[in-house]
Amino acid sequence: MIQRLSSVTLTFYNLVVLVLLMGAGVFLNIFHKAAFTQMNEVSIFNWLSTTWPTAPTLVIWFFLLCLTATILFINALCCSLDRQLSLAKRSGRIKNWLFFILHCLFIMVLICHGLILVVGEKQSRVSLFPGQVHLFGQYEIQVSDVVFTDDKQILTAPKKKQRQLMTRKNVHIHENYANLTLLKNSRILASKKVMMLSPLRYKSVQITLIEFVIHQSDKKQADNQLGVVLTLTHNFLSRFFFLVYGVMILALAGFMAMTWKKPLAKNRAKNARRQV
Amino acid sequence: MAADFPTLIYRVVTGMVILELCTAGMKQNRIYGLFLHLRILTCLAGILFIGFCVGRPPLFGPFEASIYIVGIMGILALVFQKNAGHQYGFSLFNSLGALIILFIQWDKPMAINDDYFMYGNLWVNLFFNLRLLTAAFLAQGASQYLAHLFGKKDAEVLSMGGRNTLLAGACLYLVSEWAGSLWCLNWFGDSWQWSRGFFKASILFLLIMAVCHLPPGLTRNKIARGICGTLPGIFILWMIFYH
Repeated sequence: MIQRLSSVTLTFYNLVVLVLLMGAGVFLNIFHKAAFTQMNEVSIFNWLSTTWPTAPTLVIWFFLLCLTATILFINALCCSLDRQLSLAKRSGRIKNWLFFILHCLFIMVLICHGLILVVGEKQSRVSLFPGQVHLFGQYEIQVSDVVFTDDKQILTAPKKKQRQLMTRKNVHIHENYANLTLLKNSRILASKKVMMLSPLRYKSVQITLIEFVIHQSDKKQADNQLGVVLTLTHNFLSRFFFLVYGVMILALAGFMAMTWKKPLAKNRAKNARRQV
Repeated sequence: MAADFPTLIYRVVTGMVILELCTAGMKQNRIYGLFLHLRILTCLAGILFIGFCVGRPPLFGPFEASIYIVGIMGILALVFQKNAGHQYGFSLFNSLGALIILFIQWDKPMAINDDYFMYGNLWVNLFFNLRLLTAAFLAQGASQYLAHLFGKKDAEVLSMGGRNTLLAGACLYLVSEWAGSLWCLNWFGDSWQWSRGFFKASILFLLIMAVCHLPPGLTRNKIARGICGTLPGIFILWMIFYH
C-alpha cells in the first residue's frame, strides 16, 4: 500500500488532475466572479455554506481540489519517508539528503498553504474615518488622522480610469497615510503611519491599508471626509509560511547546483569548433 | 523620436532573428553566431531604453516582455552553445521560439507599459521581472526539449540542457512567486488569494513539477519527455501575453 501511495506515477497523474482542476478554476472564475471575490473575504466554512445553495458546482470543484491536494500531500509524505529517507541513509550523499529535505519543506509549504485558509481571524474591507475606533477580536484599532496629498479626484474616478491615473507621478505612496493605533484593554500595543504596501504588524496581527475613500454622502467635502479601507488579519502562520517557502527555494537552488548536469563539455565544444 | 524607438528596436530584433533562422537553417554557424550577438545587443539597447525612460526594469506589457524575453533567450543560447558546442536543431528552435514571441507582439502597441504607482516597490519589481526571466528560461528549455525531440544527434546533451534550464527556471519562478506573495500580503493582507492569476500561476508550477516527476514509462519515451518539457515554456508565454 505504502509503495503505491509513494509512487512517482501517482504523483504525475495527480499533478495532471490538479492542473485540470486549476484550469477549471480559471473558467469558473469568469462565470462566478462574485463568489470568488467573496471566497477571499469570508472564512472558507462561511463561504461553503452560503455558496452551496446558489452555485453547487463551485463547492464540488472546491472539494475535488482539496481532495487532490490531500492525495498529493499523502503521496509526498509517503515518498519522502519511504523512499527518499532510506535512499539518503543508505547512500549518505549530501544531494540525496538535500532531495529529502526539499520534499519535506514542500510538504510544510503545502500544509501552510492549506492551513492559512482555515486558521486565524480576518475582517475584510473595514471602512474607517478619522476619530473612529473598530473592534477586532480582543484588539481595538483607532484612526487618528488620514492624509492624502495627491489629487483626490483619483479616488472617486471609475475603477478603469483610476488604474490609468494612479501613476508614480500622480500618487506618492509614501506621502499618503493613516495614523493607526492598535490597542488591547486600552493599552497601546503599536502605533504607525500606515501606507499602502506598508501595513502595521504586531506579532501575528496585521492591519493593511487597502485604499483611501471619500465619504459617499459628500464627495466634494474636504479632508475630514477622507477615510481608509482596511483589512484586519490575525494569522500566526504567515511569517512561518514565508520562512519555510524561502528555505525551500534555497534547498531547490542547492539541489540544482549539486545535480547540474554538464554536457560532454570541453571535447564536444572543441570538436564543434573544429567542424566549423 | 522616443515613441519611434521601440518600433525600431522591435524591427531590428525581428530582422536579426529572421537572419539567425536562415543562417542556422543553412548551417552557417559563424554568421548565425554574429546575428545572435546582434540580437542580444539590440535587445539590451531596448532594455536600457526602458530603464532610462521609466526608471525601472522591464516588468509588464507585450513590448517590454517580448524584447526582454527574446534578449535573455539569446544570452542563454549563447551560454549553452559555448558549453555544449553548436547544436543545429537547438539553434533553429531557439530562433523560431524568439520569432514566435516577436510575432505575438506584431499587432500590439510598440510602447512601454503604462506606469503604476506600485512599480516603485521592490517586491512588485521582483515579482514581474523574475516572471519574465522565468519565461525566458522556460522558453529556452522548451527549445532544448524540442531539439531533443526532433534531433538524432546529441539528444542526451539537449535533454540535460533542458532539464538544467527547467530547474533554473523553477528556482526563478519560485522567487518571483515568493516576492508576489509578499506583495499580496502587504497589499491585501493575505499571502495568496483565490483569483485567475493564482490558478494560472499554480498551473505553471504544477506543469514544472510534472516534468520533474515523469513516471518511468514516460521518462523512457522520447516523445513524451520532449512534449512534457515543452509545456511549461508554452504555458508561461501564453500567461504573459494573453493574461
